[in-house]
Amino acid sequence: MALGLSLVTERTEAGAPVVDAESDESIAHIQPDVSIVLGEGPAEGPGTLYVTTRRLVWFSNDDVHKGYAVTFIALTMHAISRDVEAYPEPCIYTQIETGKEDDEFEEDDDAEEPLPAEINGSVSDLSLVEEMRLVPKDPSVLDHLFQVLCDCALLNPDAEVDQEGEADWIFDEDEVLGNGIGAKHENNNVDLNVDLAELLHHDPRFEDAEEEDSDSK
Amino acid sequence: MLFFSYFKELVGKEVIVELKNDLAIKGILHSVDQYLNIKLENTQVVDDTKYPHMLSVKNCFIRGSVVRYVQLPPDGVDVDILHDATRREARGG
Repeated sequence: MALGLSLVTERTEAGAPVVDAESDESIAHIQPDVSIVLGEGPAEGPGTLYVTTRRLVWFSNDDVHKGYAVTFIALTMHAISRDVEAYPEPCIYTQIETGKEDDEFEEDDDAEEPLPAEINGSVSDLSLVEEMRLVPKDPSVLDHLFQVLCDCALLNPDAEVDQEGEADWIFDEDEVLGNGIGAKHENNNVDLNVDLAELLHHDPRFEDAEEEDSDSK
Repeated sequence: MLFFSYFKELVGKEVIVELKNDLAIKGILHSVDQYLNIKLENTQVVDDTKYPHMLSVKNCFIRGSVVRYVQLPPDGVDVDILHDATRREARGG
């Protein structure tokens, strides 16, 4: 489960998420009394947020089989939202990379925009959720929670892959214009000066016109 | 590490970060790390039609891997210096 939100039905006896010790997952922070909002769906809760070193996990307090998790690798952005026009309560707003951004508009006859049905929270729908809000009952915890998410995100860098951009360095304007690397003269000034002198003193265009005998009338 | 060093110089300046999902967020650059994760303050969404719910979040952490572009403030850029630095970096210098 690398990208997207997923359903978590398993918990330890203490009610915490089962962590994967082999990938160095441990619980970094527990925030009780947090509701969760998936996409355009209703607020679900009350619940408890577990921030592990690898994932964000939310467990419902009422339903022991209901939980959602997303890896930090899939959490593309998180922010504190205090704008009541955006959402009536202060919360952490997050965006999730689903890996399905390009698939949304293909073969989907009935929807013009992706509208995952969060109502029943089935697995296939969850994986389409792109926006998630974490709404703590106590808004004063937001700053700390935001910081915890930053810290844990830092623990999850992307795997080292060859930098795509290495071969694509652009050196100068000329290359951008399609004239090839180094097409521009290294040192224009010297050439120009010489040409300029020539042009100033010997530009044939400025020679007096030769007058031809012609009828002036 | 060129861009990391370069972005550190821009801390405190206003930038616009465009993500790979087309979202563009304007804000003051608060900090950047070696993975080019970006933290912005006083953020505003540039075009709010795609993600209207994001209006005016205060502080924002953006994962480096989803950044497509960072638009720089004109007075924050010395083009010649950056140009030379990128050439040296690309040539392994």
